[in-house]
Amino acid sequence: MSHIGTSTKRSEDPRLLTGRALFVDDVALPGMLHAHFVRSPHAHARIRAIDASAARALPGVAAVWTADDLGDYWQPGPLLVPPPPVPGMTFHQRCQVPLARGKARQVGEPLALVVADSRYLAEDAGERVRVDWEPLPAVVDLEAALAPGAPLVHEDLDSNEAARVHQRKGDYQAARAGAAHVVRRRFRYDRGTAAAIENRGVVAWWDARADRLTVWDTTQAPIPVRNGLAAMLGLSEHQVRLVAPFIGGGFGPKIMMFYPEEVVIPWAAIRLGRPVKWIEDRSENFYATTQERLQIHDAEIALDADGRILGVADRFLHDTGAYDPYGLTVPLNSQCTLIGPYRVPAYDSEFRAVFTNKPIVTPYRGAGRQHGVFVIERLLDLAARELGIDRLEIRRRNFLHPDDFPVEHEIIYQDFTPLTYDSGDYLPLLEQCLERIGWEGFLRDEQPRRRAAGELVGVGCVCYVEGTGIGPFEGARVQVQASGKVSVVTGIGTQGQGHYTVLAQIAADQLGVAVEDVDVVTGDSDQFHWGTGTFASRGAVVAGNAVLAAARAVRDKALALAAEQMGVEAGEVELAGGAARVKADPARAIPLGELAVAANPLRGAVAPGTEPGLEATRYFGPQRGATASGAHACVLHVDPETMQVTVEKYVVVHDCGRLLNPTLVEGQVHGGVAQGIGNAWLEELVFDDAGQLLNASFMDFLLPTALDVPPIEVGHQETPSPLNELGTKGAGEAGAIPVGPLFAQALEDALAPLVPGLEIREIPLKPSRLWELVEAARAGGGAAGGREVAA
Amino acid sequence: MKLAGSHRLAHPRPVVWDALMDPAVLSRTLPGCERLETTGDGAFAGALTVAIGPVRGQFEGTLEMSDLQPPERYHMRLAGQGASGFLTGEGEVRLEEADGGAATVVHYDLDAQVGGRIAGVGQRLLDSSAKVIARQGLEGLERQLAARGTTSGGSAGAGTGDHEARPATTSDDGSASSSPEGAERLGSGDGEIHAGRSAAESTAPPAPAAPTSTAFAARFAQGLWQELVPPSARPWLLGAVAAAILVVVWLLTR
Repeated sequence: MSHIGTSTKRSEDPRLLTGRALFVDDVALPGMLHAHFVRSPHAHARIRAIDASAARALPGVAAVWTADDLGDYWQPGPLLVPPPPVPGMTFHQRCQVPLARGKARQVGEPLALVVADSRYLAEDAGERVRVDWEPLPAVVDLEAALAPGAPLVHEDLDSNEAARVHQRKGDYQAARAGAAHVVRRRFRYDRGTAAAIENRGVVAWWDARADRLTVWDTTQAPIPVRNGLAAMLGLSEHQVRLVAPFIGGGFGPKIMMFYPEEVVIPWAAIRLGRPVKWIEDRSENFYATTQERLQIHDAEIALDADGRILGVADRFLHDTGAYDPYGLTVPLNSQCTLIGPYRVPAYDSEFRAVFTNKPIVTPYRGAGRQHGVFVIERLLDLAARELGIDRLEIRRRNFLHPDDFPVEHEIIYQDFTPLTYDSGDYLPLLEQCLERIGWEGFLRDEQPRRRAAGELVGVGCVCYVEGTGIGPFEGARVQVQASGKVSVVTGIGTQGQGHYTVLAQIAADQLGVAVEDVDVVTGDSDQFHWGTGTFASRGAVVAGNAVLAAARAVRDKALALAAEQMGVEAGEVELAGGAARVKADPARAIPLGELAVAANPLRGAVAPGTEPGLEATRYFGPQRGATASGAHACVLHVDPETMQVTVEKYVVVHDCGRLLNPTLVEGQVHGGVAQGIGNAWLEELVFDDAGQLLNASFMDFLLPTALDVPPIEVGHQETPSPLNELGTKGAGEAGAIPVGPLFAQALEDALAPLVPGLEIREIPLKPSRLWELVEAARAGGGAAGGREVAA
Repeated sequence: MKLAGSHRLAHPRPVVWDALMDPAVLSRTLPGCERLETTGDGAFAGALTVAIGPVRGQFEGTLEMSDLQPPERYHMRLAGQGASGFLTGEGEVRLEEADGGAATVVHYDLDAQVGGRIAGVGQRLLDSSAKVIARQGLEGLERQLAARGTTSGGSAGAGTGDHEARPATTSDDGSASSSPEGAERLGSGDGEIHAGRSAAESTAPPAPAAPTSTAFAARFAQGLWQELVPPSARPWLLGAVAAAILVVVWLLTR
C-alpha cells in the first residue's frame, strides 16, 4: 500500500507529547558552566572602554571576555548568501561580529561574554562590566538613512545604502505609455519578530581525550554550521559534531548562521576545557535574534481599459538592519513574488537595501514574499475600484493560464536561476476558495442583512504564488538493519514540521514496511554530514526526493539479493509486509532483516562492483524551485467603536503539488495563518527615533492566541511539479504570506458603509491605527488616509 | 520622552534653591538614591536604584547643574547606566515665587531618553513611573525642608506639597525624622553623603533619610493607585477586593 498521500500520524509526537524529546536546554553535562552576554543598551554608540575587572573578580566567574580578548578568533561572520548575478547590482557586505569592537550598531549587540558556575552568577557579574559609551545619533527611518549627511551605520561606507538591484522584464515605459489607467501608491510593511516558542541556545563541550567538539545548537542548518565552526576553530570537520535536536520552532531566524553566540560559545568551551551552555532568554530574543520586514514600496500598475495588466513598476527600500549577512534573499523574494499568479508583460523593479541601527534582518517565514504579495494584491484591488470592476474579476482576467507553463519571468530569483513558474492552475484555486467561504451568499444575503442590523462585516479573497523547494541539494542514507527495521538519516534539521513522519512515509513505500518500522534521524552531523538546511519551504521537497532515491536504491539491492537467494528473476520479486517475496507465490519470502544480514556477511567475499549491506546514500538537487500557489479568503467583523476585529471564518486553498501527508500540510497552513494574523493585526516592533525597541516583551508585543485565530478550513489542489519525482512543492510558508493584503481588502469591505473610500496601504494594523485611518479617510474623503501619503 | 511637571513647596525660594543645590538633601530626596557625591562645581556622581515595572536595577550616573541663575532657574543634565539599560535627561528647572514669597513652585521640563531593557520592557510604565518618582522626590524635598524648619525653629511649617494641581495629600507614613527607620538609616552613616555636606549642614540636626526600598515600593503602589484609580471608583474597588478575599476564605474553609 502507499503511505504517500495519507494522513499518517506524526511519528515524532509520542516523544514530543510525553516530554521525552531532547531540546538544547535539556543538555546537562558534568562540570557545565553557564554563559551570559553583556549587550549594548544603545542603538548606535562608540565604545570608549570596557572594564571587566570587577566582573572577573566575582567568585564563581570562570572568565569574562571582550572583543579584544578573542585575538585572531575575532572575525566578522561569513556572507551566508552571495549577491545575485544581476548586471549592474551593488552590494556592500558587512557581516555581524562575535563581540562588538569600537562601536555598537544595534541595541542588544553583544559586547562581552561572562562564563560562570551558574547563569545567575554570570548575569550578576555582567552587571559589573563597565562600559564607557559615547552615544551617536541612530539611523532608524529608511528615507532619513539615505539622506545626505545621515549618520553612518558603517563609517567606511559613503552612505547607508547596503545594496541596489534593478531588474526588468519587457519595456515598462512603453507599456505605461499605452495604458488606459495607471494606479500608483505607496505601501509600507513593518517589522515583526518570529517569536518561536523556543529561543536560541547553544551548548558546547570539548572532549579533550577524544579531541572532539560537540555542539548542540538550535540551528536550522546543522551541517553548514558544523563546517563553519570547524574552519573557524582550526579543527577537522570530523572533530566537530553538531547536533540540532528537537527545536521548538525555526521560522527562519534559526537559518541565520554564525550568530555571535554560536561562534563564541564553542571557542569558550575549548578555552575553558569545560562544557558551556547559553540559552537565550525572551528579552534577549527581541534584540539578538534576527527579524523581518520593514519595506517601503512606491509601486504603480499600468492597465488597459479592460483591466488587463500591461506592466508593473516598483521602487522600494528594504531595511536590512545593522548588518547584512544573509545577502539579498529577502528583498529578492519581494521583487520576484510581486508578479504573483498574473500575466505581467512588463516589470521594472529596483530596490535599495538600507543599513539601520536595528536588529539584523534575515528571512522569517515568508522571507520577503509578504511584501510582494501585499503590493500586487493591493494594486489590483485599488485598480479594480478605479476601473469599476469587481475585485475578483480583475484577478480572473489576469491569471496565467494552465497552458502558459513553464512561465519565464526573465528576472533572477533567490536561487540565482531565472524566475520560472514550473506549474500551476490558478482559476480553480480561486473558485474553490470562493465556494468554501460562501462568497456569493455572503455578499448577497448575509452582509446586507447584518449591515442593516448595524454590523460592520466584510469578506476578502487574495491569491499568491511562492517559490519553494530550492536547491542546492540534500542527501539521505537509507539502511535496512538486521532487525528488519529501516533507518533513514539526512542532514536537514527539524523544528516541528513532521519530517520524521513524511520521510518515513516515503521510505516505507519503497521498502514495503510499516511507517512505524522506519526510524528517522535529522540534524546530527555524526549521522550524516552533507546538507544545507531547512529553509525556503524545501525540507520535504529536497530531502524527501533524496530519501526517495536512496530508498529506491536499497529496494533494488534487496530485490536483486532476494532473487538470487530464491533463484528467480529480480522482476519476479516484490517487497511487501517487511519481506521480499515472489509475486506469484507470496509464501516464498525472505524477511528484510535476513536479507540485510545476508548482504553483510562475516565470511566469504562481497562480489566486486557491489557494496555490502542493504544501504544506499543518494542526493537530490532540483534544477530550480517549485512554484506553489494558493488563495486565502476570510470573513471578518469590525466593532465600529473600538475597531476591534474578529475573524469569523478563514479558508485556505493551497496547491503544493502532490500531497505527501494532508494533515501535515494542514498543520503547516494553520500555523502559518496564525502567524500571518499576528503579523497583520497584532504584532509590530516599535522603535523610537533613538533606535530603542519600545515593546520588547510579550506584555506589549502581542502574539495571536486561541481567541484570535479562527478555525481554518483548508482545501487542497494538486498540480504536480515536473521538477522532482515526488511532484511535490513546499508548504511551510504558504499560510503566512497573503494574510496582510487579505486583511486590508476585507477591512475595506467591512468598513465601506462607514468610509467608502478607505484605502489600507500598510501592515501591521491595530485597532488604534485602524481608527486613525478611518478618521483620516472621513476627514479627507478617503484616499488621504495613511501614515504614508500616496506619492 | 518628555518629563515635565510642577510642584508647589511651602518654603521661600532661596530656601528651596539651597536645598536643590545640596547633595546631602538631594540624596535623601531622590527615591532609590543610594549615594550622591560632589565631583565638581554643580556636578555630582552617584547611584540610584530604579524599578520600572518588571525591570529593576542600579544606575550609576552623573548629575550636572549649569547655567545657574539663583534663585530662579538652572539647567540640569543627568545620565545613568546600569545592567538594565541607560537613562539620560536634559532640561530646565525653574523656581517661581508664590504666595508673596512664602512659597515656591518648582517647574521641571526635561527631555529624557531611556535605552536597553528598561526601554523595551518598562516602556508602558515609564511615563507614570517617572511622574511618580518626580513627585515623590519633590514631596521628599518638602519633608526635608519641613523637618529642617521645625528643628531649627524656622518659620516654615509642616506644609504639604501640591503637585500638578492634584489635591494636596497628607504627609506620608513613617518618613518623619523621628521614625526609627529613618534614624537607623541615618545612623548607619553614608560616607559619601557626609563627605559631600557643607560644614553648616553637618552641624544641623538629622534630616529624614531617603525612603527605603520597601517604603519606596509602598509609595510607588500608592502613587499608582492615585494615578490610575479615580477617587469615585476607589470604594468600589476596595469593596470588590474585600468581597473576593471573603469568597476565597469561604472556599478555603469549606
